Amino acid sequence: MIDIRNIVKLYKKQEDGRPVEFYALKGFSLRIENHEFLSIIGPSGCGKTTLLKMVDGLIPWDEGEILIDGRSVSGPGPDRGMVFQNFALLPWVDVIANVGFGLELRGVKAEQREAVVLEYIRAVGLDGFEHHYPRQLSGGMQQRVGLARALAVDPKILLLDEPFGSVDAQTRRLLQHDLIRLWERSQKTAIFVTHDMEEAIYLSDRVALMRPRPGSVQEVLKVSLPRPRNEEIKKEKSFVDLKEYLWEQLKGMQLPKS
Amino acid sequence: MGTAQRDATAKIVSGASWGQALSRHPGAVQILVAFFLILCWEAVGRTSRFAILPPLSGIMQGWWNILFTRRAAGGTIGTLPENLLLSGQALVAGGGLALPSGILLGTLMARYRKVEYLFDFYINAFMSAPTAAFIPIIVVLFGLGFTARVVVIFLYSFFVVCVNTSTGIRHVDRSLVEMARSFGATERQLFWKIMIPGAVPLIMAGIRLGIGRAVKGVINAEALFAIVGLGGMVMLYGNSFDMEKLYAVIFTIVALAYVLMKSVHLIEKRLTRWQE
Amino acid sequence: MILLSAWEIAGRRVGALIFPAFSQVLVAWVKLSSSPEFLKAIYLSNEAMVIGFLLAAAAGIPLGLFTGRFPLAGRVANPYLDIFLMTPTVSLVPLFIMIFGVGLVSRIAVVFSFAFIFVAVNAQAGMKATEPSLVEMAHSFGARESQLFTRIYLPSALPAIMAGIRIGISRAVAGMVVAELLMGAVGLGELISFYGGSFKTDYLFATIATIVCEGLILLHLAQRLELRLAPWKVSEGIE
Repeated sequence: MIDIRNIVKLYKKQEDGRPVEFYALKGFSLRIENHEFLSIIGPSGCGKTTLLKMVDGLIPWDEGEILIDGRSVSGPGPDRGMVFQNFALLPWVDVIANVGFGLELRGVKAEQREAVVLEYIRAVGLDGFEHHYPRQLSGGMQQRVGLARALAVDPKILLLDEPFGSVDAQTRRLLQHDLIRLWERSQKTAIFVTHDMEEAIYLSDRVALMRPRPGSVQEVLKVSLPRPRNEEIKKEKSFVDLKEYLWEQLKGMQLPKS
Repeated sequence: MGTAQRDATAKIVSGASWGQALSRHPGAVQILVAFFLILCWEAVGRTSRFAILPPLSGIMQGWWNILFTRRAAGGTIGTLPENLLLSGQALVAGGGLALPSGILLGTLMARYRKVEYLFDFYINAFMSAPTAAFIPIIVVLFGLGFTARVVVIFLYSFFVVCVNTSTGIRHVDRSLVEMARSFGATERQLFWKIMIPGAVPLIMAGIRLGIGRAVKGVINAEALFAIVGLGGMVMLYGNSFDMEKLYAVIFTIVALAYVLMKSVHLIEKRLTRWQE
Repeated sequence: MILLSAWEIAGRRVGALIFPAFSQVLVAWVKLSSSPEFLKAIYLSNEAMVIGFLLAAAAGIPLGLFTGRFPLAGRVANPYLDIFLMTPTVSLVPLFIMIFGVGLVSRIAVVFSFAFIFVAVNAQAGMKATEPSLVEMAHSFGARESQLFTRIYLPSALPAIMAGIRIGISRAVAGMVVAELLMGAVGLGELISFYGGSFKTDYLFATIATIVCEGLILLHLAQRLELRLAPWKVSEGIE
């Protein structure tokens, strides 16, 4: 279980020569249960990516705590794996090497890596592309590699930072579908950051609605739709109502570009 | 449309299609232009009274000549292959010192801030200053021989390699660093698995530039004080107004530089095939 | 700081004939800056440098812009430009001596040949790097060729042109030095040969230091000009 308590993140920067302070996050609290799929949704710039990176141990915070199963987060760890918005694939190696990268860093030898890596390449539907290089792959395929890489290290918690934000709408649907299938099989805890309301509801058990400036949780909504999910669900009344509700809330929050 | 306008339109259309037709065959145009220039050169060389521009055929003769003879009048200098070897030796020695040490220092400067602070000012100063100005100092310190030439070549090429290496390492995609951190990479792993591979394109570019600079360095050194090797041939034939041989040597130098740079460029392209 | 003290110590130990100490060079420098011959030498050297550079810019920028704007012209010219880029320019100096003799004109020619290619190549790169989508956009609003040039291509290429000027100035100074070292009759190069030959190493170092400083100052000025005229992007530049 992930317990985020009263996180405060303060940024200091120079604006027109004067030092300016602003709170990216203030009083952010959220609890994520094991094996649950939770989305965090909010307007652009509200700090949701910052929060996710804090959970991954990449960014420090100024006040508050983040506890995973009771232990405080002090840096990245083998219990968490992240999927990045702009894929972050190593352009100079092929798909096999990319998927195996996390394992390689941990010192897993190449022979042992191979079986695991090939399995996950198959799982994300990229068999046949093992020796391709990132520049030869479409955006959707690159993200599949990113997903396989995160899964290959078998983390308890999967962190996804707007993973489908850089691909087109059609690819996004396919990826969402595949993500759900993979997650349902794995029973991992997943925290999914997005700005797409439909995506948030479709994928998750719960949706945390974030407000900006300073970033904090406004409301957490339960998604009572049955699993396994399929496309048909998007037409259900409860789905549409939830989506409209989220939009009403988000509409009022839109920020001009800071 | 009136007749005047129709004529004007016709002119534009036909002019445009001429240009378009040419653009469709750039290779042909290149060859045509080259051919034309060669013809001009030959014609000017034969007919004009200026000894400055000998005909291309004369230059080819001169080239054949220096392949074998040693000049006797006005000072001896070896055959072309001999001097090629002489220059080449200095080039290899100087470059062989400059390239690895440039990469080494560049890497250290990118990795450790202290090293950067220590050397940054001097490196920038040497990059911006005219290296030729330092040649007299080198002569005073190292004499006129092989060592002096090697030092000059080193000075010419070292800095470009160093700066390109350190810039390449520092400008690696930040998101890749973050990604590796999230998978638990140590500082060493970050350096060897992300920074270095990511910097290869710029390092190779630095090597290519460094070799180009090294060639300039060896010729400068030989022309300005050593009077041996290819640069020496340039000086000797220049001073004795032996135009055909002079051009022949210049062509050889250009060919040498071209071959070297092209080879490095090919290696560069092979190593960076993963780029878009 | 460390380097300077090392210099001082090395100089005193090795002996002034080979390697003068920093303090000795400083003294020589002070003496030089008040001597009229030195100032005259600076003037003469720079005369060639400035004229040569201005000619190189006047010829190189238009050539670069033209070959950058029209791909066909670029493809035809590029092999020759590349060859020029790779030739050690010093090997052309005997040609210049032959054609122009050993005077001011000859030195201007050398400076020109050192700087020209870099100005041209950078201007060309700037033109080629113009965003095609911007050109398309202007076309769709009905821009004429001249408008395209002044409102889209030229501003877009300006950072690269400035980089070319910056590099060209450095090269021009180098050309000035090489020209004088080889032709030697006047200017700072002649002084260098003189001091080197008579083993007045403190004056030698001082003169060289002057040249280096001049190069650095000019470079600094060029960079400031670059920042003022094209602040939105600082081009790496082709060297």
